[in-house]
Amino acid sequence: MDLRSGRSLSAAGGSSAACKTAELAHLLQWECTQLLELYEMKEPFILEVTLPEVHIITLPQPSSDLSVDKQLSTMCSALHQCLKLLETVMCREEEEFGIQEGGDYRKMQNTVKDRLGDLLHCMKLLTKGELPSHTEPTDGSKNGNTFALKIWIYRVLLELKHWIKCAIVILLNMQSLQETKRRVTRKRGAREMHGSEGEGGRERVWRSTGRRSAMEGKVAKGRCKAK
Amino acid sequence: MCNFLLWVLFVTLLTRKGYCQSPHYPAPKIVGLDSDSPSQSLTVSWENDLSSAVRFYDLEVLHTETNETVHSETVMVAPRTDGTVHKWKWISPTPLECTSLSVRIRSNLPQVSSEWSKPWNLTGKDVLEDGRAQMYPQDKVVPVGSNTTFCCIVPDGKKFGSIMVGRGKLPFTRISRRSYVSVRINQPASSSTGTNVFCLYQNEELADGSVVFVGYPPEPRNLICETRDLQSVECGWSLERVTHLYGTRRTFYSLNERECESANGFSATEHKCRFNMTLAPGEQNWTLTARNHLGKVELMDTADLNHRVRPRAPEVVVELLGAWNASLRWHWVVPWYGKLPLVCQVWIFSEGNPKPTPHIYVGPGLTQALLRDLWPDSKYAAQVRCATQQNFWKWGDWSSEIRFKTKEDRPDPVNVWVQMHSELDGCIVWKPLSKSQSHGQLKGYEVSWSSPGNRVQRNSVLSTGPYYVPISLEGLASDYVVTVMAWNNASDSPAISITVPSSPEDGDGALSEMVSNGGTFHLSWPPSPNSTCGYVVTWYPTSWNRTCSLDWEKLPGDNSSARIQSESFIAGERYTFSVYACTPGAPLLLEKRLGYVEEQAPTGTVTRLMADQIDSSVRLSWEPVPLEGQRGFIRGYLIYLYNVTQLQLIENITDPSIMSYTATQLSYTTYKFTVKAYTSAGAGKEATVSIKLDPFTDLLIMEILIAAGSMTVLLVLVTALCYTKREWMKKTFYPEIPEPRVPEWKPTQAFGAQTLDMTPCAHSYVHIVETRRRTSGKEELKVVLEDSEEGEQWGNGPPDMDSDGQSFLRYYNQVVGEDPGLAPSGTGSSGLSSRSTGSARTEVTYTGIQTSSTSACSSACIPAAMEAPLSAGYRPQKASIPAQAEVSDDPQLDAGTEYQPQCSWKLDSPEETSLDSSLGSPTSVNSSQFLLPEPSGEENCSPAPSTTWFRNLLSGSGKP
Repeated sequence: MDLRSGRSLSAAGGSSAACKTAELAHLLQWECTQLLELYEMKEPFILEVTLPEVHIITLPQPSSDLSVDKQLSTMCSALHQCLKLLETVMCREEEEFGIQEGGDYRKMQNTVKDRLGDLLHCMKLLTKGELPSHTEPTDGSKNGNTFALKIWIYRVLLELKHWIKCAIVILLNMQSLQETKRRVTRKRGAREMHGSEGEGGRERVWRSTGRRSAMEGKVAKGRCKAK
Repeated sequence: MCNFLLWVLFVTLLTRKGYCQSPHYPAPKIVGLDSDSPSQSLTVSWENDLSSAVRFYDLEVLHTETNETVHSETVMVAPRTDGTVHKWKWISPTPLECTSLSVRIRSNLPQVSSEWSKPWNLTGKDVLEDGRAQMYPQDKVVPVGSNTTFCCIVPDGKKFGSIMVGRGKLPFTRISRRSYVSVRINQPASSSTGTNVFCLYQNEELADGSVVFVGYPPEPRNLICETRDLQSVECGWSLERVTHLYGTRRTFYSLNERECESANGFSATEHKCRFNMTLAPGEQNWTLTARNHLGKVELMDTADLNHRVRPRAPEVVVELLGAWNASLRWHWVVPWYGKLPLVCQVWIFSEGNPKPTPHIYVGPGLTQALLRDLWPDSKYAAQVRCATQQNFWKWGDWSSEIRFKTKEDRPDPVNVWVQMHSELDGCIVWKPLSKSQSHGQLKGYEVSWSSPGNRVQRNSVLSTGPYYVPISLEGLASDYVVTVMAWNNASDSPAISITVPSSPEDGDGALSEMVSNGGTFHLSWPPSPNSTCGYVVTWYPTSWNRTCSLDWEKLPGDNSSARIQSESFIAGERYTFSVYACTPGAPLLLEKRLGYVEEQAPTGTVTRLMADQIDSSVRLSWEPVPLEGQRGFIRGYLIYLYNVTQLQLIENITDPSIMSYTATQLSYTTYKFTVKAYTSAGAGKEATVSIKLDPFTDLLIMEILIAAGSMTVLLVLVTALCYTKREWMKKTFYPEIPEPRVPEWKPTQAFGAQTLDMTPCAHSYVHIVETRRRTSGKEELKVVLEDSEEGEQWGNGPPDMDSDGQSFLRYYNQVVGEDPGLAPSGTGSSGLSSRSTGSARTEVTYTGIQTSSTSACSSACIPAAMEAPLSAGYRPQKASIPAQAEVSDDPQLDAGTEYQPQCSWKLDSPEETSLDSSLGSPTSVNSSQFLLPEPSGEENCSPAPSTTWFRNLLSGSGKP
């Protein structure tokens, strides 16, 4: 799937829902990068300064002890907060600066907001009952002056990009796990067909799958911490 | 000394007490210090006692930390009777937060001042309690061109770096231990999100920043208020310039102190303010107030809104009335409009005509308009807007565009004509119907022709053409009638009939000529009494007269003139125009003309250009330029003579019917003539012909022939004379020689008395060696005397060494035919002799050359002498060289072929050359012997031929 072309998810080449969701996340990541670039063009001073690394969304990083579903649920919560923050950003910018509809920056904001909503919807479908806990983010826009608001908006966009990147890692892990499960199930079915498969072999398969899941969870954690 | 000490003590006391400055007035007492950070102002309040008459006070503002005076001012106060508190307001150029300020005051009397009051402090943000980095002012709104001072307060432990705007650093000043100040001067308008000014630490890390919004105060113009429905007011205005202030700093509007919600939104782009209200009759004032952070402006409009009604857009529907008309109906959202006398404007946009056609309709409560004269099967779009007819203010809003398409109708009649190429062959031609004539989707054309009593012939043609049908009439007995009609989805067009002209058009000879005026032909002709329905003018390119390409124009009425204009006219193309009178029967041809829409120079040349010499003149003749190359009416011909380097005009023939020219008095040399045809547009291409004038050619030939004839006659006469006088000549030049007396020969005596000498005759052979000189191409004969050995081969015995070696030419009288045994067989010599037989019975034959000591032995040598030369040595003199070459293959004949006589009379040996001179001596007719003695001198035989023929003539042989 050409992520930059903006084609619909249904047209994606992936076979599983996780794959399609991952592709959607990839597309959102590219759009978020574009949005950041547009913001940097609007506020070029951002590129001249070094900002201290402070996160707006404070959620526990995905742990290897958590299952992929749990990690996914956590990621949904983070992205939900990102969506709320982005909506706040748009509202505050309109109030403060009277941002006109139709500009490139505003268009991209709307695109990212809509795509983020789609991604959240897809990810919720993948959680299988692990409903994410919605935590409303802290609105830091009204604490300071206009300059602080601009810094905060930039942080929100960086935060959004960060969590999308983490979501991609988790979704790819999930996709890999699903493919492994499907492959094992196909092999087991074939063995049962030949009557040569025992219980011990099945247990080995499950243990192997568990180890793989734990290992990929570590990878995901490591990637998210890498920011 | 004592006095001196007392004086010092007095002065010291005075100084300490301050009596020199304010001996009687105590310092004023500051009672209050108020500050306003956004406006960067501080207000000092102080009081003095009631009895004080001080009117001037000195005030000082200092940086508390450095005790540096920032501002000092002497203020004058009015005498107060109601209290003793005075106030002084000062606006600081530097934000008050930048550092702590101290204010003090003293009374200023004309000669002395009071002490400074106790300073009052205004604590800044650079105090220790607030250790974070800060920047001031924050979110300040300033006008374009103003200066703004920014300060950056860095926390302890951090090193200040710079204050920047964008990528540029501002110069800074340190005003306290933690505070640094920069001034940005003459600021330009900022963007919608303001101008960012930020402070960096020395390590480029961001300390803090602020945003300054630089813009303009509001400046609305042209406030106009009106009503759309008499129940609301709507005021609009325009903006003189953009304020560059947006969001919370945008301009807010109010109309008569009521907020304009439509104009005050975050993203409002409409500069209108509307709200419902009950309109009072009469004029009212409408005041618009615009304000932002930088100012406030008021605009006012006074009007009676009952006279300012601008109707809203109606909602329009269309109703089709047949193919040519439609009805527009609309209704008003505001029912009240139905009571107003309205004027409405309907604009019709038709397909292919984007420029709208306005139609005006007037009436009270107008709700419909009839659209007439529309075209069938055409797409239209219509819009309606209305205004009040009385107190016309403005046109209302346009309705939304409504589109419709009219129905189809039967096509218009077809414009048809018949062009006859001959009496029986012609074309039915018609003009294709345009879209406006088709009145729908044209399907095709139906063509039929017939004469009374004959069957009707039909032909269908598609709408795409071709728009002609060739016809061939079956006879001339009666008039043929042609009918053409078109049809579409709606119906057939009215059938149009035309009677075929009874006679074809004639040739183009002697037709009047005309040239268009600016692309338009003006034709006029005498009215014809036969015309009952007008005239028809047809035209076609003259060179296409056998095709069906024709255009025409029908002129109804009695108008006997026409202006013919066509986009198909081609410059330089000859057109044939025909004028017909329209009659109830066949059209009657009145006249024909030839015309050019624009004449050009000929592109062709005259044809068959020829030049003929007539004595010393040249007559040029040619034929006209072909029609395709004329490009205009030929007005004449230009005759040029090529004169080495240029063409010299020698004649301008202005009569194009003259197609010959004679150039006279020319010298006998080569001439090149050029002929150009020309039209009114200029001369065309040249045709060139060359001719060489030969002086008296025929006379010279005649002279040669006469001379040759004269010579022939003279020769014949001389020959005849000589022949007739040959006897005389013979006697004169060759007198009769007495016949020699031969002693009587007695064979018996001879055989008996004398013994035949059998000794071989001493003879000498001449061996002629042929040496070919390739260089000269001729053969040269080399005479070599044979030695004795060779002679042995030829002779039968040893050579006679005793002989004197003198050579003799031996003569033999031969009578050919009388003694065949003596005639050599198969030799050229015999041949030559035989040919001589016809002319003379007796002929001298050279059969050999030999030397003999005695005449007696000569007879004995006859066989040998006859054999050897005839077998190989002698060749006829006429024999050709190639024949010899063929023979040379025979080794036996090689020796013989080497002998080639140089001439007819060439002798075989040098000894016999002396005999050649004897050839001219008289000889006996019956003898081969020369009668004259031989000359002593040696003569070559080669020049002999000059006299040979004459000698032969006299001898009667006729052969050399």
